[in-house]
Amino acid sequence: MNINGVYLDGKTSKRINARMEVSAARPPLLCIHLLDDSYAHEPLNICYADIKIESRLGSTPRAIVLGQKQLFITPDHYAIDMLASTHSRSSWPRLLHKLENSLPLVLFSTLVTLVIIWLTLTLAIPKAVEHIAEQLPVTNANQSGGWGIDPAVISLGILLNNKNL
Amino acid sequence: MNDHTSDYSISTTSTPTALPFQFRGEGLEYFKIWIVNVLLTVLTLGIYSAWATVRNKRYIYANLFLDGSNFRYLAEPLAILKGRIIAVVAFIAFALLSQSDPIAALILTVILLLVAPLLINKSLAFNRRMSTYNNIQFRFKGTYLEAFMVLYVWPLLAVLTLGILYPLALLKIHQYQVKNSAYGTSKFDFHASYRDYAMICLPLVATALLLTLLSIVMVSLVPVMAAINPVIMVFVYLGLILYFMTQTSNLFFRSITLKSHSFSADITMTGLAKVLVINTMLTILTLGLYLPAAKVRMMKYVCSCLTMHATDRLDNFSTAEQANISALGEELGQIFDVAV
Repeated sequence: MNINGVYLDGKTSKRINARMEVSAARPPLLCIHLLDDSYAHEPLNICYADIKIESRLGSTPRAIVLGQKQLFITPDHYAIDMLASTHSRSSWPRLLHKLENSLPLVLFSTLVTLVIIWLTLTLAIPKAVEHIAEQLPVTNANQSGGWGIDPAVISLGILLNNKNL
Repeated sequence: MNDHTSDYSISTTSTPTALPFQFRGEGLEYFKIWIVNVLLTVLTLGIYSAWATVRNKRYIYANLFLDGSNFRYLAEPLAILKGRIIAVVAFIAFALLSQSDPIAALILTVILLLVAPLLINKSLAFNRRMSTYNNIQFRFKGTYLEAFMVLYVWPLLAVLTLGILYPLALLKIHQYQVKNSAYGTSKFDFHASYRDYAMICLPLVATALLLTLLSIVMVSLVPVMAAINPVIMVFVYLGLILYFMTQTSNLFFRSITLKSHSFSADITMTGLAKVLVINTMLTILTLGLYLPAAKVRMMKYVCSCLTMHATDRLDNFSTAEQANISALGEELGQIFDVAV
């Protein structure tokens, strides 16, 4: 399998057109051919264990970190997914991408999020406030004068509130 | 497959040329990522928020293109989670302490105020180091004194002089952000002066005073105006805020240089107002669900107004050599990597 992209050496910002050759062996052998004339030297052989494949995120260009600093960037998601499927031990990034890319799952996520937020606002927060209010000592009402509020005002407020009820 | 796949190729810029910034993200695509992040954050009681932040930032950075190449965000979620845990623990400790021992809380407040400039330096350094373009990391190296001056002294002087020194405070803040930043081994420079900022603030203050006086006179002459005057004044002040935002943003970008390369910005009041009004209306109508698309719309607009004027190809920047960086500092940075 061949993947076309751009190679960066990690020392300079120079981008070089490159082709990554992935062998069919397991684990695959990776060989990067630099396509610019001024860089027509020996292909770079990269050990498969030394690469780190960036998880897929929408349609953004995909980067493969080669060794410590070198980078291979390509927009060819299909090829990178093929390579990642043999490389990645964790299925979480693929699951996440599936979740983000399926319209029914996104709609379901939206619905669940809205329901959770609605329940939090209508049930959880009032319950929590009630619970905190119950925990407060009764004497606090008498101390309200210390906060600069006249207890008479509070009494009037309670009275008006009860009338509304 | 990305519609811009064919654009992901190497340009052959070798003469002075204008390189526009481009934001290639899409509202619906970002919404899908954002809503899944929100759901997972809610389900994990906030723990996933660090991963969500990284994923959101990665999307924004990866869609920001200059000269056919995109930016990248490298932060590891665990570094962000660590920073957040520290912040939450500190907040809880502070809240408990302020109830039980007000003097200890006061001492802790003073310590926090003294540590804040250091945290700002560390946070900016972290964010810069996690940002790359063409595989070269950005850097930030501000001193404690600079951060202290920018955070406390200059704003305080601006208040004490009734705003006369406000343009200077703004200039110092922007200088601190830009002059301490570098792209690889190349440092950014900032060329604005006090006069440039004063020329933005002076007409603003004069217009605000004039219109306020005018409204007072109008209300005293035509009492009916008293009813609609507050509404008019809200729009007037919003317009002035918009003017300030566009002018300072344009000045900020136009004053930055990197080596011999410069930048230009043409954010207009009408353009920004249009984006802000549409974003606000749709965000309210969709109960907040439009937020990611609003962010994309804003990014698209701002990027469409920004241009880099390159005097040479952008491929001759070098990564910071180990010798150029304090080894100890860098290692400590790795150990205590926290996003504050």
